[in-house]
Amino acid sequence: MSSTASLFHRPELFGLNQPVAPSVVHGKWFTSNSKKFFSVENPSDTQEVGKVTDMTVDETKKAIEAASDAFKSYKNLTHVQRSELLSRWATLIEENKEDLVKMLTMENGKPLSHSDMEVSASIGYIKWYAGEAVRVFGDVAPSSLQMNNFILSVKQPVGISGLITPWNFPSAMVTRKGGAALAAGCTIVIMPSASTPYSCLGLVKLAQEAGFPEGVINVVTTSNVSEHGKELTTNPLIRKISFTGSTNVGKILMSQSASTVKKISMELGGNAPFIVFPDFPVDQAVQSLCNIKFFSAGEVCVCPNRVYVHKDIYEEFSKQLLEKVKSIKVGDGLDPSTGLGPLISKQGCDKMASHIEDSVSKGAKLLAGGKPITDKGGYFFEPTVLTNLNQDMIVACEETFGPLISLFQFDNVDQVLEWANDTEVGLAAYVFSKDVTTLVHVAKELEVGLVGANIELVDEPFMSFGGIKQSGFGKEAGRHGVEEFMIIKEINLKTQ
Amino acid sequence: MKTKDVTKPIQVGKVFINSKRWPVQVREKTSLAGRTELTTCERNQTSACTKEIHRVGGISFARNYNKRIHRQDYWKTIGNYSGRRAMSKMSNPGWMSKIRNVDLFDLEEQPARSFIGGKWVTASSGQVFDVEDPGRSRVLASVTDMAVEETREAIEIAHTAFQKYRHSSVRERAAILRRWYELMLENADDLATMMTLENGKSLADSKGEVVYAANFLDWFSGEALRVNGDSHMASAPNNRILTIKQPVGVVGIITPWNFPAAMITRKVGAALAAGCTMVIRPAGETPFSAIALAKLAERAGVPAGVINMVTSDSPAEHGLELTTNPLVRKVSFTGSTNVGKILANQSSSTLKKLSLELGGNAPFIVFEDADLEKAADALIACKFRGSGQTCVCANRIFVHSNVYTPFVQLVYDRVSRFQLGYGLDEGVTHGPLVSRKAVHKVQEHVNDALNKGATALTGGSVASEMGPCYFHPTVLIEAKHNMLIAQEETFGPVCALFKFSTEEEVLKHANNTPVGLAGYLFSKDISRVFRVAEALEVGMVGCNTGAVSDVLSPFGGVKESGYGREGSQHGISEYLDIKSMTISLD
Repeated sequence: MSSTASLFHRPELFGLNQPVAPSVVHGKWFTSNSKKFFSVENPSDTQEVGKVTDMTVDETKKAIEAASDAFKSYKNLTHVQRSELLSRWATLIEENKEDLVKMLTMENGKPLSHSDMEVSASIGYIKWYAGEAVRVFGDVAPSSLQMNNFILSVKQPVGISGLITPWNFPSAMVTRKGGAALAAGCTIVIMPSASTPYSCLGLVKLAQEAGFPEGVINVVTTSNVSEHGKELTTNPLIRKISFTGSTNVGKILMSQSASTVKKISMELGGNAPFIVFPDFPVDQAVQSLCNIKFFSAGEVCVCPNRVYVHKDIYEEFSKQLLEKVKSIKVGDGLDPSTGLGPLISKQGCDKMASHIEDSVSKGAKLLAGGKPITDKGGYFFEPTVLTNLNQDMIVACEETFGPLISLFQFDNVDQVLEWANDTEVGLAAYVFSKDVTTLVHVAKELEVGLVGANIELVDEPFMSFGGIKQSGFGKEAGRHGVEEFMIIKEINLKTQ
Repeated sequence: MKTKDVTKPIQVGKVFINSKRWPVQVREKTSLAGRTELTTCERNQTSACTKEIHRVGGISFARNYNKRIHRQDYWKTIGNYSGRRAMSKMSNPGWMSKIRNVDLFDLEEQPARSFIGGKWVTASSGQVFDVEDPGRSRVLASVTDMAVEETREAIEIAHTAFQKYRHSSVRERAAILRRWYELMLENADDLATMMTLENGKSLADSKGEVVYAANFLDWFSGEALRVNGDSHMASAPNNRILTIKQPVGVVGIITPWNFPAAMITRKVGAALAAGCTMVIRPAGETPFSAIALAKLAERAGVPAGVINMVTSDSPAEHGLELTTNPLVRKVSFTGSTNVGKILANQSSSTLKKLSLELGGNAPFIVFEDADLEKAADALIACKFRGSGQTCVCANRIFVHSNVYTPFVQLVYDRVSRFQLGYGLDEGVTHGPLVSRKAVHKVQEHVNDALNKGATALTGGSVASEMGPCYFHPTVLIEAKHNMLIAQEETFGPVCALFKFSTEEEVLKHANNTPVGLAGYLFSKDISRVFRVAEALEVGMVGCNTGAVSDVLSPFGGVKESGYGREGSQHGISEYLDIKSMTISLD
């Protein structure tokens, strides 16, 4: 039994009642025959949370076969039955929320309040998809050739789906993808990040309790994600890949998927601009910025990476921002007073430090923070504010993924739009203005998939989430989430 | 107002004591406003009753004409009785033991009350009306009989509540609806038992309805989250158009007795999800299902004043108020075409948005290539559900002449296996009709058909040995188009089989009616299925099935069966207005 087991009401949800947490294949706990395992560490104190079984590629193949077997019957459940299973799953997650929140904080490091929001979002997604399951509507179109012929379009599940999920939202990314796939009638193989497999295992365990049939949901736990990712993207039984992660990995998975022409959804990296016009109340804009920038330590793909503030309010904005940043308490996520937890790993800290170094060497000024915090034992970094930035610095073109706020000064709408769009990716963007014309114009011109207009983006299952350009394609949640896991079949019906 | 007291002795009713009738003399005070209040009783007449009653317990009032009195007031006048505790002890007739939670139906107090502004209230007049069990022809209990002024108050309360509820978050609405759904399922047994008691339908039918009714709440819980507008490009290059949907306002909801629960949830679920507040007027025959739904809505967390439920026994007056009060912006009604026309007419003065689900006269067409067994099973389910008292019941069964005889045999075999009886009794498949009036109409249709040459293979008469509301399930053959049964809805357990020989002929007859709600056809030929389904002048077609009611399917009719759709993704739009916003970027 793992030493952390005693912290939970139901340690068995995460396999913590066993020396090595097993994975889930064909409805059963599954321990790799290789006897190998990997450790999951808490980034707040670098202590081990527990050990998880390290599956072989052959075992991943088995998981895919299990999903394939289960698909034969799962696709024939009625939409109402799938909806009811999802509703029950949501109820069970609500009942076990405390454990799931705590585990999320332990393996990812984010403060409990953020974990709470994430697990709530997970519940919201599953409830949403429970509703979507019974709302899979096709069309009936009259034929253009023959008045009495019809073209019926019906939607059917695409098949076995491989879901590859990241460590920054270990719970919400599993449910945002998994809920959609299950609502559509697909069976799934989930590969969670090796840094945060426990949230996924807990959710899947609850799904089994909710009554999802054996083999409908399978989990691949592995420390070698690239090898297993290759299996998922090349195995011919898999018809769909949904991935959330970096643009680089997305490109690899996409090229691997090409050989069997899988349907793909890619939610990749962003480089979100955050544009504040002078007619907008500065205090509100600063608040929104801090809400979203320091959420989950800035390790969020929709986090503002470049903050463009109009020159008329730049001074005031920096001043107010500085005050806010100084008040942020950095600490262990499990401490309820913590506002900012650690980054996920040492590499996370190194990347942030290199971005700061690059900017400063090119003339940026450090307003606050700037260094890793080494005396706390974990991967902590000071909340940092840089000013006097320009478009030549790394932070302007690459996602930092940390608690770094980079302040740019702009003069007019055309200039800021040009800067904002001067990046290969396009996931989220923010615009703050009281002027409706500016707001609608900028929102329209921004080359992104998601715009927060006078508000930070929040969990919203109604919102179709997804980016454009090299941030990927495909939408999750909202009205389009389930469609990603369906095919449309046209039946041209001659009635006479 | 100046009140003149006129005190006169009149007989207001009879007391049942172990089935014996006791005349009771009381005096009433009539005010100029037309209200009647009970003031005194003839001591010498009632003292005997008083003793008897204290001894035997379990009493109820039967009403005499329209003069009814509140039982509690009655007791106050004739004895030392006070307080409700003693009353609840006495009013515990045998049927109540079949119900686990009597408070669900407001039965721990007499009379059962209305729900207005988040409170359970009785009519200030003190008047009540009785609800009968059609299966036993006995009074179940009495319900407060609200005056029109009280409906008006309820409308005003709903209007006030709307100002806040319209801004409630859709997640909150979704959560309330989902809780309500869960509460209905938790209380399904009691709801079904009471439904059978007040409506007569078999317990199996009632159970089916309770689940069907609850499903609308779950469905609209999801719809609440999906009130999507659109964004449009405009003709002018620098304009943008957004559409948003907003709740229409206070809704008047008038529901029938044949589906005492489902017709409420199908309307209320949509209205609640859309953000409307409402005044519900359930049928006087079946108010207890409505009372229970209001109780559960309250427990589910529906804010005070959002759902108001007014019980009364004078539908016309209350209907007039709901359709003419300017605060009501929408009326949704399920019931007969005649009443629907009156309500539409009344609504015209304030141009209310309307949904009308009215009567049908469903054709059920069996072609020669049909699977006859399957068609016969479907016919039984469709024709005899609720003893034929549903608006989508097959009314005219057209059978191709080549398969007429074998099909009649299949139908006869099935009908003869029916178990007619008291809805709550085990093994009973079909219960009584809702009232003597309903029985009378069915008998009239059957007699007319028999006089014009039809033959009854089975049934054809009142099952008077069981009670006045029971009618034998009837199969009529050789039905003709000049019979009443071909022209109007029978709303009873009469299966009239017509013969036809061509598709053209049967379509002509099927459409030869002013109404058009449901239609059914049975054929294996895909071309014919589409041809006939498209040609039928109805809102819903069952193709090789006798069941068209599904939460997911748009429910509603064409022609004089009304307009508007309930359930499905179209249901909520009946309670929403579309607003377009054109934004200029210049």
